[in-house]
Amino acid sequence: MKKQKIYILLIIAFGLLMLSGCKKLDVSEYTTVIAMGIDKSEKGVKVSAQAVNDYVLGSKPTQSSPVVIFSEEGATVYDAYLKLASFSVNRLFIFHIQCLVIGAELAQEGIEEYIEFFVHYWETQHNFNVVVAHDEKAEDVLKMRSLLHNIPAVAVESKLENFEKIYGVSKITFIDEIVTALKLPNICLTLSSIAIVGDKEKGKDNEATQTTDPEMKLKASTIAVFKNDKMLGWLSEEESLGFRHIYDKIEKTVLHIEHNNKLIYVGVKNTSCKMSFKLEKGEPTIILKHKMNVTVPVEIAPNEMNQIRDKINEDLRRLMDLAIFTAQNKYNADIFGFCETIHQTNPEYYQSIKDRYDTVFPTIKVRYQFETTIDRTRSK
Amino acid sequence: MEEKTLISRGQFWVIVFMYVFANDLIRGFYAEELTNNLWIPIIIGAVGGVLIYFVYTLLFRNVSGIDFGDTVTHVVSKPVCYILFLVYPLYFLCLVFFNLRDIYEVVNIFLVQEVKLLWFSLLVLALLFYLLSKGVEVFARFTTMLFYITLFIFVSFSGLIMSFNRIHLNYIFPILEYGFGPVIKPAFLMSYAIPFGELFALFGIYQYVKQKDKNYRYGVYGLIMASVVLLLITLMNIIILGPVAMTIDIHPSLRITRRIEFAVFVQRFDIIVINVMMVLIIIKLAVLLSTTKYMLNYVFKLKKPNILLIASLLIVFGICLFAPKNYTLLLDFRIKYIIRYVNLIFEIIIPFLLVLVSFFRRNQTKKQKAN
Repeated sequence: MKKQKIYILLIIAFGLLMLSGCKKLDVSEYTTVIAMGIDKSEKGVKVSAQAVNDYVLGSKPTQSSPVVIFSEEGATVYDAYLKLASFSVNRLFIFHIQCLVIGAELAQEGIEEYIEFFVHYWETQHNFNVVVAHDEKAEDVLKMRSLLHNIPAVAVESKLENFEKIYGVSKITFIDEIVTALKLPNICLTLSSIAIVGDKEKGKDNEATQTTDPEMKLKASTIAVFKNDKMLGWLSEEESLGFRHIYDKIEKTVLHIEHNNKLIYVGVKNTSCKMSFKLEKGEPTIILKHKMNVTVPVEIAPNEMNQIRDKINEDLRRLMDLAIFTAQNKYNADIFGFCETIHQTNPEYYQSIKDRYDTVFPTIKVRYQFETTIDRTRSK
Repeated sequence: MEEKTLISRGQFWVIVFMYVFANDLIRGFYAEELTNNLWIPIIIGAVGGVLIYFVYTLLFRNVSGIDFGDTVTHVVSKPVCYILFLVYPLYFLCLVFFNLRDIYEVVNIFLVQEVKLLWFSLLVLALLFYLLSKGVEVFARFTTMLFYITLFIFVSFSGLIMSFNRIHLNYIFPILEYGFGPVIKPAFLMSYAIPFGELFALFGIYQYVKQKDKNYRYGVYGLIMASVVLLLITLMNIIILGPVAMTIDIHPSLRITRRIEFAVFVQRFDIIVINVMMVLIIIKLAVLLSTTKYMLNYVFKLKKPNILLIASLLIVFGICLFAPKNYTLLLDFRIKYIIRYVNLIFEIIIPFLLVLVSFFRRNQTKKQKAN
C-alpha cells in the first residue's frame, strides 16, 4: 500500500514538473494593452494598441509617457495584432482593454469581419466599450494625450460615461450587443463616437498635458448610425438625445421650455421608455410609454402645472420626433429596435414583413404616451 | 459488493447534482438553433430526465434487496449480464474520454495554453485513480465538500452577474415562435444525453446508499436541483447576453461569467469557473469509472479490482493519444453520432428493455412464491 502511494505521488510530481514547462508568464512579463483601434489600410487593416508603460505608473514616475502606441498593418486583425509583437519587449496582453476605437473610414466600409476577432479571441473579455472615431482615424484618437488622466483610454472611457450619465447623449456598447445587432435581421447598430477638437498634431506631444488650455481636446460626441455593418452617418446632438430617450434609460439630462417669454431649463432624471406594438387599422404602430421625473427651476402656480407639463412633453416629443424622422427618412435604419418589438409582440405579422422591412420601417407610425412627474419647482 | 462502506442518501443527492451540473460544460451547443427558447427544452428535458431516472429505479424496485450486478443477473441471466457488463464499461470509457477532452479544451484555451493533452490526461487520470482507490465513501465525502463550494460560487457569481449587467427581459420573447416542433427533439436529447441524461452510470454508486430501497427519490432531488441551476444559467445567458451573443460559445457559464466586471478590478472570475468545471468533470468521471470498475470486477472477480481500474484508465489514455486532435471534429462526431445513437442505445433502449424484462421476472418470482 505504501509503495502504491509512493508511485502515485511520483506520477503526480512528474506530471506537475511537466506542467511547470507551460511557461505561464509573470505579470512583469506582460504589457497591458488598455485600448485598441482598427483602421482601414492598404494591406487590409491597421491595428493600433495603446499599451500602458508600467514604469511610469509605479511609485517613482519618470518623465516618460504613461502609454505608448503601437500600430501595425495586416491582412486581418489577428495578423496585425500578432505583428505588434515586433514593437513590444513584453507579451501584449489585451484582456484588460477598456475601449475599442473604430476608424470612421473602416466603419463606413463595414466592421463585421474586423469585430469577429474581439468576439472570439480567448484573451478578450466582453465588457469593453466600442466607439467610432468621429471623422477621424482610430490611431489618431489613441495617440491623443489627456490632461486630466494619465492614461488616455481611461480618460476616453470616463468622458463617454460622463456624457452618457450627465447629459444622456453617449451610450456604452459592449461587444456582445454589437454581435446581436449585426446578426439579427433588420435591427441597426448604433455606437457612440469620440471626436478630436483642435489641432490633432499638437495633441500627441507631452506639452499637451502641460497647459491649462490645450490646443487639442478629445470629446465624447454623438451617435453613429449603422446599417448592416456599415456606418451611414451621424445623429446630431438633439437627435442623439431623442434616440436615447426612446432606446435607453437616461439618468440625467435637460429639456427646455418657454415660460413667461423666457427660455428655462428643466432638469430631467430617471427616464424610461417602454415600447409596444399594435396594428391600428392595419397600420403598424409603435407606442412609446415614456416616464421621467423633472425639476423645474421656476415658481409655478398649482393651476399652471398641467400647462408646464405639456410644454415639457412637447419639447421631449420634438427630440424624439427628430430622431425618428432621421432614422426613418434620412437613413432608413431601425436603430430603435422597432423590428424586435414587433417580432416579440406579433411574430406572425413580423414574419410577413421581415423580408421587406426596409419598405415598412419608414411607414411605421409612432404614438407617444408621456408620464412626466414634476418632482420639484422653485419655492418662494 | 467490494466495499463494506455505505454512503448516505444526502451524499447520493449531492453526487447526482454534481454529476448533472458537470454537463453544463458543453451544453451550449443547443443554443445555436433554439436561441431565446432554449429554456423551454431545458424544463422539458429535466422532466424527461426525472422520468428516465424513475424508469431506471423500477429495475431495482422489481428486484429489490440485492446489488446492481445481482439485479441485472436476476433479470437477464448471467451470460447476458456479463455481456452487458463488458459492453457498458466501453461506453462509459468513451464518455470519460469525451468529457476529458471537453475540459482539456477549456483549460487549453482559457487557462494554460501550452499544456499538452498527454500530460493533462495523465494527471487527471492519476488523480481519478487515487480518488477511486480510496473507495466510494471517501469519494462521497469529497463530493459533499465540493458541493458547498460550488453552490457558494454559483450563488455569489449569479448575484454579481445580475448586479453588474443590464437585464433585457424582452430577450425572452417571442416564446415558441415556430411552435413546439423545434423544441421537442432537443428536449428529448437533453433528457437522455447532455445535460440531464447519462444517468445509468449513477446506479453503480446508488447500490452503496444506505437503505437504498427507500431512498430513490434523493436522486430525483439532485436532478431537480441541478436542473434549476442549469435553467437559471440559461436564463441569465438569454436576458443578459441576448439571443445571438449567447450562441457564440458552447460554455454557457464561462461566457456569462466573463461579463462580471466592476470598477476595472472585480473581473476574471472565469478562472474560478473553469476550476469549478474541472472539479465537476472529475466527479462525473469518477462516477463513470467507479461503475466501470464495479462492472468489470463483477465479471472478472479479481482479488485486486484496482487492476481493472488501471486497465480502464490506460484505455482512456490510449484513446487520448490516438484520437483526432481536432476538437471541433470530435464535438461534431459526438453531437451527430454519440448523442443521437450511442447514448440512445445505452441510456434508453437497453435499460428500458431491462426494466421491461424485470417486470416479467417479478411476476414469475411471485408465481413461484405462490406455488
